[in-house]
Amino acid sequence: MKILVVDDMEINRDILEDMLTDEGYEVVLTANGREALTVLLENPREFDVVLLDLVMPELDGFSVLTQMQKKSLLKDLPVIVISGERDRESEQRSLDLGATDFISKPFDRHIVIRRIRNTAELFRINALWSGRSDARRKRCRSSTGS
Amino acid sequence: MTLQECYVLMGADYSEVSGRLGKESRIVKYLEKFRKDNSYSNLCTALEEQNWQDAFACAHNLKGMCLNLALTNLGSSSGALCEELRGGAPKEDLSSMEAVLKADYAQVERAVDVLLEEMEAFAL
Repeated sequence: MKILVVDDMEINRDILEDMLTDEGYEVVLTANGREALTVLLENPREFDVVLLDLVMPELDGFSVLTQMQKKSLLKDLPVIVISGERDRESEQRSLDLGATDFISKPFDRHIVIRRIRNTAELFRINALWSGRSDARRKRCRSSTGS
Repeated sequence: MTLQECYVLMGADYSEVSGRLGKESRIVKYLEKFRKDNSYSNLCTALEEQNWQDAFACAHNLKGMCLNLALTNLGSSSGALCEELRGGAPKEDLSSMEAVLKADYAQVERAVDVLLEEMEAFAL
């Protein structure tokens, strides 16, 4: 599994990198939203999950989520927001903008890893079902001749 | 000085951080990075220049690091300042908040420096 970490604080990136590499995940680190979007647009199919901070210079996490929803190649990529913002508004806004999950700092390795696994599994099953639905639709179309 | 003793001196919670982050060597590595981080000095400059937007960003960063490293006292004082600066210019005089923040940071700074010096001396 390959994960993109987006956080402007070096310590936070280090902590997440250590946690994730311990689990055998491949990790790419970026320090702000602009850098993250550049990496994602260059390699749209490469990542399984994005871990996104909210308050960052250049481009904040909310703007990253908004931009991702506008790009067809990125809008289905699961994003878990990890933020020091612990208020209901930030969580609600993140989820409204397309985030899959929201984790408040401080990081707990067990919770972070479990949420990543759950998110990746849900998206894998969803992709599988979408593929089956597409195949079913194609079969229906060919049998009805439409 | 052990890492546990350092955490007591910092007014921080060792059992919390070790439960979340695990290995002691890693916690020391993160504390070393914390000491090199310039969020606190940038915060002091921004407060002095009354640059509230930068001050908020720095206080927010400091609070985030403190939460992750379970630096309870400093996390609490930086968090309080962060909330006061959310939305721009503060409504209250910040001098008492700044004083608490400076005392909490100095406490962490002293304890981490002693820990790192002793570890370095022991390694030699």
